[in-house]
This record gives sequence, C-alpha cells and structure tokens, in this order.
Amino acid sequence: MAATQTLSRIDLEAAPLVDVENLDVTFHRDGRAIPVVRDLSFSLRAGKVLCIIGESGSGKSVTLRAVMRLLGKSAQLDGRIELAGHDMLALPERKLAKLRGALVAMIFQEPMTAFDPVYTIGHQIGETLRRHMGMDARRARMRAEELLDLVQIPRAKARLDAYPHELSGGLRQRAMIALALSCRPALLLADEPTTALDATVQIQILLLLRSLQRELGMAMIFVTHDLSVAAEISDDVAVMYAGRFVETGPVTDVLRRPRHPYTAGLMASSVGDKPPGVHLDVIQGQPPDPASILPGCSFAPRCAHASETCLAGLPPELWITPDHAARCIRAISS
Amino acid sequence: MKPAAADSRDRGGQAQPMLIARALKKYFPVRGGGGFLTGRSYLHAVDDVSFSVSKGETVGIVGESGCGKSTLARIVLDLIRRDAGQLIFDGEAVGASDGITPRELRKSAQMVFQDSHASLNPRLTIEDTLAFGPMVHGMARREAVARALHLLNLVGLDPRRHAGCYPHELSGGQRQRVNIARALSLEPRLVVMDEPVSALDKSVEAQVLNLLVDLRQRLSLTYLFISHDLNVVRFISDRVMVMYLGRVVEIGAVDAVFGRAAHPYTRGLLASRLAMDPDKRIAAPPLSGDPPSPIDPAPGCRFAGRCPFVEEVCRVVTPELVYRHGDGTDDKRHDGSHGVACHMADAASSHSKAGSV
Repeated sequence: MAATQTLSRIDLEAAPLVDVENLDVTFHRDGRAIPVVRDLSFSLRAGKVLCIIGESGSGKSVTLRAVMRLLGKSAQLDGRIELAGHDMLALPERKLAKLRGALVAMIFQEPMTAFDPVYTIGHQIGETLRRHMGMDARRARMRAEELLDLVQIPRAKARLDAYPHELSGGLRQRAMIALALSCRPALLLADEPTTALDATVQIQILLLLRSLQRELGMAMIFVTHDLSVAAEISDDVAVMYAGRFVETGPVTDVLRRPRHPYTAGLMASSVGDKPPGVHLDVIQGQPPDPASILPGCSFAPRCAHASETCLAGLPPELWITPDHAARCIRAISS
Repeated sequence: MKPAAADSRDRGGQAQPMLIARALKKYFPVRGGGGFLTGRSYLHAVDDVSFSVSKGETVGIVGESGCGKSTLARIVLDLIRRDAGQLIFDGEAVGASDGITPRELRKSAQMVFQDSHASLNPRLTIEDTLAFGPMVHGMARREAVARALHLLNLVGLDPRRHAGCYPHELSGGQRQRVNIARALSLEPRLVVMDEPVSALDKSVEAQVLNLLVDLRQRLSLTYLFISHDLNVVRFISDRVMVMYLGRVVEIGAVDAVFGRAAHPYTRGLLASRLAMDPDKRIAAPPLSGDPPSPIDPAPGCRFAGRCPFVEEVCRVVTPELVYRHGDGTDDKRHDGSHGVACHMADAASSHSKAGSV
C-alpha cells in the first residue's frame, strides 16, 4: 500500500519533512540584484498541507520552485532547504534528479506545460516509472493504468493511448496529478493547479487532491492567490507579501482572526457573498516593485494604520498563539 | 435596479430596452471536422439565444468555458457576424435597411476585454490610445486629447503621471482602467465587458469593481457583464443569464437565480462555489465531469450528459425556456421574469418530475 511505504520513509515523530530556514532568493539581471524571496523560514510535517497565499509577484511560485531547486542560474539561493534530511542546496544536479519525482513532485496551473504534446499520456507516465522505479515496459503500463484509475479518470485503459490535447481540461489536470504521483512522492508541490479550471471542475480537482493527500499520507505545499481555495484544502496557511511571510498559522485562526492588515484587507476585498452594489473595502495602491523595496514593512505604504515605526524598520514577527504569527507591530494590540 | 433617468440620447424612450437580442445563432465550421459523406462539423457557439437589457440595467452572463458567452458578447457588438437572429439597439434594428449600421452601433456600445495587455496598442501612449477612437469618429485632436485627460481622471488615474506612459509601463489594474476609459471615450450607452476582472489580483479586482459600480451611476451606463465568477456576477448584476453549451439554461433577477435556482446546472454551479470558511468545506463535488465539447452536440438538453435527473425525454427534446410569473402561472412568453430551460420546470413535459422545480 502506498501510504505505508510513504510513512515508513519518514518518521512522523522525528524531524519535519520540509525544513526551510532563512531562505533568500535573489535574481541577477543586467548587473542588478533583485531580492524576490527574503528570509523565509517554515517547516512542514509529513501528511500536512500548507497553503502559500499571495498575489502576483509576491514570490510564492519562486518559493515553491526553490524548494525543488527548479530555478535557473540567474537565481541565487541562500539559507537552508532540507527535504527529509537532504540538504537541497548542497546536492549536485545528478542527485537532485533522483529526488525529483521520487521524494518531491510538482503540479502546475497549465498541464500542457507538464506533458510533452507528441507522446501519449501512458508513455509519459510509463517513462517516469521505468526511469525512477526501474519497472519494465509491461509493468509500467499496468501501473500507469492504476494511477489513472487512482485520479478517477474514467476508462483509464483507453486513456493511456490518448495524447494530452485529446483530453478535456479537467482530465488533463487529473493526468498530470497521476504523473506527479507515479513515484509516490512524500511531498507534492502544487502551483495554482485549479486556477485555470471551471468552477464545477475546480472543486472536483480540489477534492481529489484532498482525498489523495490523506490516503497517501502525502505532504503538500499549495500555492494560490485565492483565499477560498486555501480554506478548502489547507491545514496551515502562510500569507506572502513582497517576498516575506507576513502572517502564518492554522487556516482557521488566520481566516477567522487575521492579525496582519494585508490578510484582513485581502479578505475584505474578496467579493465573496457581499451584498450587491456595496462599496468594497479595498486595499489602495499596488504591491511594490521587488527591485525597489523600502527598509521597513513592505505593506506600510498601503496600510491605513502605518506609523513612523513601520517605515523605520522591519516589524518583528509577533506570536498571537503558539502557532499563529504576524509580522505587524499591531498584531497583538489590535 | 434603479429606474433609468431620461437621457437626451434616447431614441426609443425610457421604457424601450437598450438592447433586445432575438434568437441569435452562431455556428463555426470546424476545420477537419466531419468525414467523407458525413458532412461538416459545426461548433455550436451560440444557439437560439434571446434576451433583453433595459436602460440602466446590468445583465450578467455566467457559464463555463465553451458555453458561448464570449462569442455572444462579440455578436452583440457585431464584431462577429451572427448567422441568424436579430439585434435591436434602443428600438433600431442593427444592420437592417431601416435601422442603424454596425458602425453607428459601436458609437453607442463599446467593449472591455479580459486581457488588458493584448487589447492595447503597445506603440501608442495612453493619451493617444484614448484619443484615437474619438478622432476616428471625427473629433479634432485637441478636443480628443482634452477628453483623454478627463477620462483618465474619471477612471482614477493621474493624467500627469500616466498620459505619456506606454501600456507596458502600467500594472495590470492600471491597464484595465485604461481599457475602461477607452471604452467610455465615445460616451457609449452600453458597455459589454468580457471577464474584465478575471486576470486581476483580488485586491485590484475589488478596486476595479468599485470603479465600475461608480461609473455606472455617474454616467448612467448599461452593462452586459460576462464572467465565470459567480460571486462577481452576483455583486454587479441586476439580472443574470446562465449559459451552457451555447444555450441559455436559466435567466432572471439576481435574487431569483441565486436564491431559487431551478435548473440542475445552475444549482451545481452555485454549489461549487467555495466558502472561504474552513468549517464549510464541500464534501462531494456537486457535478461530475467537464463541460462537453460544443462541436456537434447531441440532440435534446445540452446538460443531459451531466445531469443527475436525466430521463428519456431529456435526450430527445431540447427544453425551451419556461417563464414563471409572480402569480404562480408559467408559460413560454419572453418577459423579464424568471425563466428556466429544463423539462422538470415545464409542467407539460413528459419528465417524471415535470413541474416540480
């Protein structure tokens, strides 16, 4: 059974599966250094789901790619990233390739980018199984069919011979999940996998991911811009703004009692079920350009409560409960 | 909905709908579709769609990809020529010999697209972009530029800072404001918007929605607002039309459609909305499968393949819209009330649950 095998690899009581400390990601372009992720620390236990919530340019996707070391040479990574005891920043490319797929796999917003358009679905899943798991062609095909079954693709056997473009958006997304799960990763990274889907399909994929994650005891880092998606799937959330986590904690605490004005502002500006025609409380302005970030709180220029202190220096991380923290000087008093 | 104030530009009077669409149809031939002897395949983008938009009203159109909502928007502005059907703008038929020409229509009806970048000319400054339309329609350059600066103010941009910018120098939200300003540059009566906030971040989406609500009131505009996001449509619309594979499955006031949805597709769509509350998670998907291909759809109800209540009649007879009136009676007459295209809503159908919803 997949679940037991995954669990045996990692001792639940021991170190967390993911341990990131003081991660900085800096892009070098035209002789300029642009800090995109700054001083990020977090950990995730096996079998848990962390949602990173942020808007475009916040650094959420870059963080995800850094964890899997998918960023190109223009990205400089500092700090520490440990996955199941492996020091991801120290491993040579050859060893990384072995971990990708087996220990950690990733799914994307657009499945067409994950599949090669000229090979069938069955061929591509089979190739992964042959390469990573050392299966022969016949066993790989059988396993690929089981995987398509697992992600609830109807008529799995026939679908093995389909090309990616022959599947509908929802089925393609399921096939990509099957590909990612083919080597039973302990950690699944998901970059907005439901954003491009229709509403009735989005909920199907979210529920599928939720049940697979539980069944297989898999940990997941899920990046989204949508608070309601986070509410649907996560145990913990981290709200990201201008390259930093500004609020972290259990999903219920953060969404019920947001302590950072950015989190609260995001919630207030979501249309949700607000009565028609009311004036929405919006966050004025727009996120800063990562190339020109001020020394203090990055959100201060848009914050209604900003004071001199906020502009002077980076606010400390204040702990509201043992697991709920916000990087705002008013987090406890407000 | 507030009653529309009298407007000097009215041709048909206050009670004349701004737009009437009757039995619109657009089929696209599919390349390589169909086989020898079997004939060509057609994508049924818009199939027998009728509705009207009153003056000052906002009608929302919701539906999933492939339902024909974007094609419908383009048909309304005659950007795509319809195969059949009639468009009546403020009492005058579009394209008819005694009506108005498509060019005259576009003076009074404008469009805002989803992709704020692709819809702006990268080589024109914002000022030139905004002055272009009025100049094409005969305005002097000086006057057109003055109006462009006024429009920038109107949509919340600073003329001094933004008039000389090129599109790539603006953020997505700012570009969408420019697109809105451009749509307003000819002082239109009707603005058709195709997913205008879908590509924006949530905090910017709210800013643009506030702007649209504000402009509607200040300029007494009429909106046709297309979105896949039910919450956004509910927020901005007076009436809403739900489309599925080229056909209207439900239409009515926002409260009726969101509060007393009758079509199984509308209900499934509404139940698929996420709650933003971890204690209200959805346990099972309200609908299974994807929206099917709109190429050569099977006869009968387009939703039959995904419908939990499907019966024999659904696969044979295409249901028509049945309108429910305030007095509890219903018929197939087209008016402003709540209409549903489902055999279960039609007491006269042979569905075992006929007349039950």
